[in-house]
Amino acid sequence: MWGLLFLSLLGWSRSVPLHEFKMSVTELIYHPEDHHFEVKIYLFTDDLTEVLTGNPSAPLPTRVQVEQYLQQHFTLLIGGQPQPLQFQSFRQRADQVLVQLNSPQGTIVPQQLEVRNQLLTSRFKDQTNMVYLIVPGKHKKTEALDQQRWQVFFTL
Amino acid sequence: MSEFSTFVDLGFHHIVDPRAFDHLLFIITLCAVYQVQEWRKILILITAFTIGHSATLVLSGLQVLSVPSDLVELLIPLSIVATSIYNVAAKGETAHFTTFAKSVRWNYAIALLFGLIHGMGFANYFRSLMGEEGGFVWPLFSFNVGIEVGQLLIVACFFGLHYLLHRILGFKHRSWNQYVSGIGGGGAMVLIMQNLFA
Repeated sequence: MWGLLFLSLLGWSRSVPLHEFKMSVTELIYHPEDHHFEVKIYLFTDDLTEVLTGNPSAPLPTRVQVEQYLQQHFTLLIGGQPQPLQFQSFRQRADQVLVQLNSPQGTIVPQQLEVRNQLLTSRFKDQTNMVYLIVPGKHKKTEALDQQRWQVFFTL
Repeated sequence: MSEFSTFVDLGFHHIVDPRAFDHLLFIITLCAVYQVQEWRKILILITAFTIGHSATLVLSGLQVLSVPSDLVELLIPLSIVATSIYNVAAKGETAHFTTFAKSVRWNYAIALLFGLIHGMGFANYFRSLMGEEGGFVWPLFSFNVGIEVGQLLIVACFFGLHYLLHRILGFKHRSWNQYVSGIGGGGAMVLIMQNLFA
């Protein structure tokens, strides 16, 4: 019994990482009053800083760094056309950062839209990126993306 | 995928994922002391654990209950160590107790109590899946269904292996209990050290 317990300790102390999960959440919220999508992205602060600086304990990255990173790793496409997302705000909320972006006003609710989300997946192979599509009067749509499946089509 | 199947899938993979092995370790340690023929006790035990973790998952999901994740991540492996110590002390000799014998009823109560702790762990994960917009009652329900399915699969595989080793290969139940409890206790102690010294 104790021999096995010791072996478990020895083996697992070398191979098993601390139980933690890599997760981000993106909400795409359609605002019918001025016809645009609000995009809210929640990222764990330490994961974002690790990806951008290589050090999870580094100070919070600058707005420019975050904006550039999002432009490279997150795309909303309507009718096959990438939408120019305007950076609205970037703030810390508990252990996460919340980034808010807006699509241009006058965006008509499309029949189908596409999301390409590769946030943090280059660094964390077990990263899960939740994507929610919220359009008033329609059921909320939910998808869980990851390193292999980083693109999703929503049909309304 | 629908919202229901997405969250069932996330709940299922959260509990069976070997990288997040603390819940898995607890379930096998909890079951180690029992044999297949004690299925009534196992059923009540798993039900008690399920009631416990569902209660705190729902309360935490609804933001009625909030416990720091660092504390939860420490309490979960402590619950595994306590269970493995009990198993070794019990020597895998529960078969002669009736389903509702006093000492067995105590086991059910402990499973319920430890279920409350593990539910807080599930809730920490669940909260990280959610944003601010839209309801989360249906996702919470779906996520819990996924956890239950995963839990039942683990229990079925565990007792399938036990049956194979015990009935066909003649492996003694007492040794099985000690091996499994040793793995559970050892793994949990690694988690405790990682929590305290990481």
